[in-house]
Amino acid sequence: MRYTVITVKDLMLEEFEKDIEKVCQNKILLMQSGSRKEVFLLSKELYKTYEKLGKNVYMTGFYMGEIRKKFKVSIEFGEKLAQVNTTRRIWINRKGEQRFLYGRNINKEYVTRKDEIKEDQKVLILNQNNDYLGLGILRRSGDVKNVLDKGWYLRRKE
Amino acid sequence: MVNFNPFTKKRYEQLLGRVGAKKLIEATEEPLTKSLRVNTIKTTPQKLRERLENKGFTLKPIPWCKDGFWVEKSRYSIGATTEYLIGHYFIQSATSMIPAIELDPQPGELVLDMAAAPGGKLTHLAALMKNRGVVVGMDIDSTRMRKLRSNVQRLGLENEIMFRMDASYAEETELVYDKILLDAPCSGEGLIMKKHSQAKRINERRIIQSSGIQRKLVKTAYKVLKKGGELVYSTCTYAPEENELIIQYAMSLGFKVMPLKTVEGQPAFKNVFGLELPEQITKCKRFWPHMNGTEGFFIGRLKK
Repeated sequence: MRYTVITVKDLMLEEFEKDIEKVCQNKILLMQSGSRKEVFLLSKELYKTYEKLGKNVYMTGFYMGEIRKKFKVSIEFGEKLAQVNTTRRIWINRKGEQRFLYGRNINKEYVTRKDEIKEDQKVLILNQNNDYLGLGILRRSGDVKNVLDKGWYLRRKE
Repeated sequence: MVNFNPFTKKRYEQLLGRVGAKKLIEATEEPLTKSLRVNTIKTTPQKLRERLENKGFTLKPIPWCKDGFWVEKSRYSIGATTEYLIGHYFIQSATSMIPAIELDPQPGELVLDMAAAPGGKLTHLAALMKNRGVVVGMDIDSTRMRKLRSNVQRLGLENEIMFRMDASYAEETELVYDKILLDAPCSGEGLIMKKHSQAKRINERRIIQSSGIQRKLVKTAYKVLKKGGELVYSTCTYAPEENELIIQYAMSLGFKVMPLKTVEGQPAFKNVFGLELPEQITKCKRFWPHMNGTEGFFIGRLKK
């Protein structure tokens, strides 16, 4: 697969813009050329080795997400955002954690704490140990819609 | 009940004697204790142990791997915990933890894993390198590559470059590596404990085919390794053609056999089917189900 170097601006971000800029500081962004526009984050050290390579690379660095109509954050990149974000977090209890990791939405009674978040915004979902579990959208009702969750690793087809 | 074919039984008797072969075959039927390796990119052995023990698992440290635990008691599947999903550990056999520790990669080094999928050893290398430097992973199988990618992502690697390619063409990357790990594709006799049906699949053709691939990979490893660099060679099979004789071939290329740093195991064979081998080969080690309580395993540390 071939890749081109892009900047954070090329992602045309509509959400988590500041967090993404922060995480990408001093890093190189590579976008796959072709029908799937996956984006990977590389340290300068890794990029230096990548540049020397004569062969097609299957994958390198940290998978950030994919550019479709807009940029779609990957499950794992959400974890990077959770390390820097302090405004878009929702904490859920043990029961909520189980449901969420099964791919389900979360009723508001499972939410134990949240930042001041506007409805219909994307949010980072954390459990009681502050582990990042995935992404959701806060509904007006206070329930959270499941967008992405780490249970995917079990549900995906081998 | 494991069904060994007459070809395999006869070979085990030639290698271990009648009593040894019987013990090996009996031990193969024993269930294997599951084990896991803590992903130190995301957590520490102490923290993970506490979290899993609070959930009703009992963990016992693996002596040769400070990040490894045997799972002695579990209330539910060790592959279905939140800690697994968030990448705090990799389910890995205790012997599979040895190659990366023996290679001992350092942050900042350029390391090659020649048979990388599904990623147990590649992610171990990255963790030992503290996610710095570069670990290059190659594998030829596309299904296995998808598993590798999933594991690399789950465990949070940032320093990998992966190729779907036959690693015997590793020269095409035009890089010279500090260290190389070759956990070679093999006939897999050591895995019979995990998968009894594997026993039927062992035959002479398979062994000869595997040893051909292993020779090609070792030859390439020698070419792309820097002078003074190290290669750790391992397999999960008993066949001397894929172990001692590959080391003998590696020596003919110019590799020196080094003593292992972390594990004891049983010395490799000095005499194979009547063929006398150089003394240095006994620095390589074997793990046997009936002697070590682990899967069957072979490992050697070589220096260019």
